[in-house]
Amino acid sequence: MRGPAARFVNWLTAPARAERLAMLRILVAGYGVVWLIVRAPHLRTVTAFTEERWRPIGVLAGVDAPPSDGLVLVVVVLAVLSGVAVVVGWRHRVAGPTFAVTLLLVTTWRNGWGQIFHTENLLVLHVMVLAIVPASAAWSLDARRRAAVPGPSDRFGWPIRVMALLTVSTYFVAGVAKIRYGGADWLDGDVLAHQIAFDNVRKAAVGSPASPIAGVLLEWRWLFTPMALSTLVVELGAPFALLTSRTARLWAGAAWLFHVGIVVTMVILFAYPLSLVALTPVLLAHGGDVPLPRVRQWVDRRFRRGQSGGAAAREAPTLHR
Amino acid sequence: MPGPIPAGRFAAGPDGRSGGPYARSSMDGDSSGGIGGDESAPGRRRWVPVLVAVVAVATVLAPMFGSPASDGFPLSTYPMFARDRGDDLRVDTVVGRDTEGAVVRLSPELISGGDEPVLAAVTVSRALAAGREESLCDEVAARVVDAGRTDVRVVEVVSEHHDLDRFAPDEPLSRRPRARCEVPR
Repeated sequence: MRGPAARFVNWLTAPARAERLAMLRILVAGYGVVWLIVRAPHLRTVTAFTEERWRPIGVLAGVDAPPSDGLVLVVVVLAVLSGVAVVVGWRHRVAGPTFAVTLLLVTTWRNGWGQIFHTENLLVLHVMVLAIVPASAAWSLDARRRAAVPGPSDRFGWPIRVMALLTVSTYFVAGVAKIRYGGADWLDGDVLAHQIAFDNVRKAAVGSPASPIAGVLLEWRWLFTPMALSTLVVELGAPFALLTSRTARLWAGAAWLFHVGIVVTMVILFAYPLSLVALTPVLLAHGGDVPLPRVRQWVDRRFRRGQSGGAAAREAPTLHR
Repeated sequence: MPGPIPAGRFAAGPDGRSGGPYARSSMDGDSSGGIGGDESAPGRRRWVPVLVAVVAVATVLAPMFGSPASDGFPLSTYPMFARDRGDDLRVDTVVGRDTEGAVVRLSPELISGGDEPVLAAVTVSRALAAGREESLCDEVAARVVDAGRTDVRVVEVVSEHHDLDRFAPDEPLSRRPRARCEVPR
């Protein structure tokens, strides 16, 4: 195999330290657990929705009636418990898939009432990947039972890069939809201006806080052309984040600012990318070591008895030459 | 910083990949799970990550080749910001009226029983489409009572017409009542 395909396979399967995948496990599953706990009051209100509002989607598409409150409670509790087990790396072979399935069920159920929120899509996909890979080989209770943490390996590298591929793919799909749906109007900013006005008017109409700056911003209509172009650059340009560590950092920064812009103009919180957790696989896909050395040392002391492979994983090859 | 490598335990293979002696011994009997974990066959197992990556990306990209408006979970084209809404908006909502007859905005919790504004608006539109505006009005009135909102005397299910280019959220061009009910006291 030669050319781009070989470079892709080399990049995908380049070894990485077990700690790097472990960090993703803790961040992603930790985010999922926090989301379940923070959104518990909201989930409780959803259980009070009447049956005629049920619009099942995804894996629940064939379920004609909403699940009972008791069943929802059981699945939510199971999701939290298995999520905590994934965070601490306890029985990952069982906890990982359990968390993935229960989180998928809870979020699908939550989106099955006539409105898809799009805020947990990528989280669920990332958790699915973590469920089937050896993400608890380090920084975990599973690892404490072993004499030592394994050294750098491709089996710790490719899951990170698959998660990075998922991240950039979701942005790319959104960009393509804008071109296909909005066409040239998206490029001149009209669609974006209408969207921001629409969203804020609708929020105000149902008594929800709207953006304090939307009204002022909409008077400066020329701004929407560069804003729309920037949006498309972030979304359609997402695959470039996979080329080098520099493009990854640039893209992650731009994507984060893009989500800050959505908060400021529409008060819509995409907390997963705003927390940077969604973007971390892209940042880790190109090698380098785990950032936050003090945190790493603390986790090392907590979870490891043996010493890790001293030689850090060799830098992952880039897709770009 | 990591310490030195215990001999024969952690070192990667000569090509920098796994498959050295560390791998098999350290992961035997562990419970870290994972596919593609057959450390004894580094050549053969490369197809596993490639297959997973291709399937994962193809699955996420698949909605792109359907209708741009297609939506789902967790796979989606994220069409919510893609479509041109135009400058003419009809938004269905539920409002209150105080003793003077002035409009009082109600919260998403009062309108739909949940805290999501989008879901509140969708709930009203679906109720109107199903001819359930009267029962929705009664439900909201009951929640107004439960919330102790004594300032609200009347509840109205309405369709508001807005000019988005004018952008005046609290001053719709028109507000058409669809159902009206007294708040029980």
